Amino acid sequence: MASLRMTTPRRLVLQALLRDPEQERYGLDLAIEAGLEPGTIYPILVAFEGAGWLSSRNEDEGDAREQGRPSRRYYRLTGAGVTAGREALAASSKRRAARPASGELAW
Amino acid sequence: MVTGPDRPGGGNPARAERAMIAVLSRLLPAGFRDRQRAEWTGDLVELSAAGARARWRYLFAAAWTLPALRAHAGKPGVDRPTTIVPPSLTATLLVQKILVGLGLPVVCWLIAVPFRYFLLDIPARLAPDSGMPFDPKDLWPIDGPFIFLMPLWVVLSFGAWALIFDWMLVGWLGVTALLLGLTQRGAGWRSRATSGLIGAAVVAIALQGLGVRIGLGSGSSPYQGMGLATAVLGGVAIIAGVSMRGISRRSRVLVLLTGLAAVTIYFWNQTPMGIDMITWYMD
Repeated sequence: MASLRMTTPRRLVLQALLRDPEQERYGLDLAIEAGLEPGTIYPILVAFEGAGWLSSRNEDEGDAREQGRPSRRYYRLTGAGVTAGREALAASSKRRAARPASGELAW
Repeated sequence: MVTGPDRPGGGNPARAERAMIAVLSRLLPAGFRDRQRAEWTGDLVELSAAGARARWRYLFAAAWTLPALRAHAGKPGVDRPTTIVPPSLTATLLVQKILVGLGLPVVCWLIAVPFRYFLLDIPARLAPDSGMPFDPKDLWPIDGPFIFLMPLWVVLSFGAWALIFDWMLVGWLGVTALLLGLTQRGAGWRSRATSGLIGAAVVAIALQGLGVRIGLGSGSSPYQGMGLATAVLGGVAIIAGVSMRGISRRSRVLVLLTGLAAVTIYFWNQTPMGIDMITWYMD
């Protein structure tokens, strides 16, 4: 399981995914929930997938056709991704807490 | 901006939006392209109610993150759509065998024979009244400090001979199969062993044929009609280049060029000038 550097957009996506780790999500829906600019989420999802944190699948075309839209690609946290994601968020929060408050000097 | 994740219907992206998606997709790795195009297209359909401004904002945001997406898309572990057929191991091996087994001898022949023949103006030097004291085919610098060029000279010579003598081309192909089979990444030990054994068998057959000249022609030159294996393998390469699936465009072009060059060399070697050139080279 690869570790990933945590950035603010990655934190936001992870938080959105971890709200319900079992639920499958698609890119636009997740971007909106995470508060990201739609269209910017895919590098994050692909990085998570490459690290083994996410799995993805194409939606059944019949289901999409019934709803009159193109089929979506659904993403879900893997078991290892849930653990790694929670650890990464915790570590990131700890680092943030250790930083000096805004306006204070670091030395 | 978005009416809801399950908003049904929605129009297709406008022509300019589709063109933008096509351009962005082209900048992604081939195996990932279709997957991401479908993602962007689906999102734009869903954003159809949000207006053109929102959709273009989406597309510019996508373009902004394209370098990051491209970097991550090329890494292992990222699922790619099943509609993209990755190059099969068999196709990859065949391309490698054609390029190393036939393409390399073609390059060697071009450098060792016609390049030197015309660059050094051999016909003029060999003319009875030229007055030139030496045959410059011995000019390759391998003496003294140039001894390190010897391996290159050996490869060039064997490669060029392979296009003239059929048994040498068979031997060259056998060595190629042997080496590629043993060093092929991603192949199991059975595949390696099979390729290695086939290569070894071909080398053995070629060595058996050592000294046996297979000449179809009955002309005055012993080299006339030789090199038929080059033409046959060139034809195989052309057929493979046209019909093989799951290989990159670059590989296809290289295989086709190799095949065309091999067939051309065979026919060139049957012309009076070609025979003169081979005779000079072999003497």
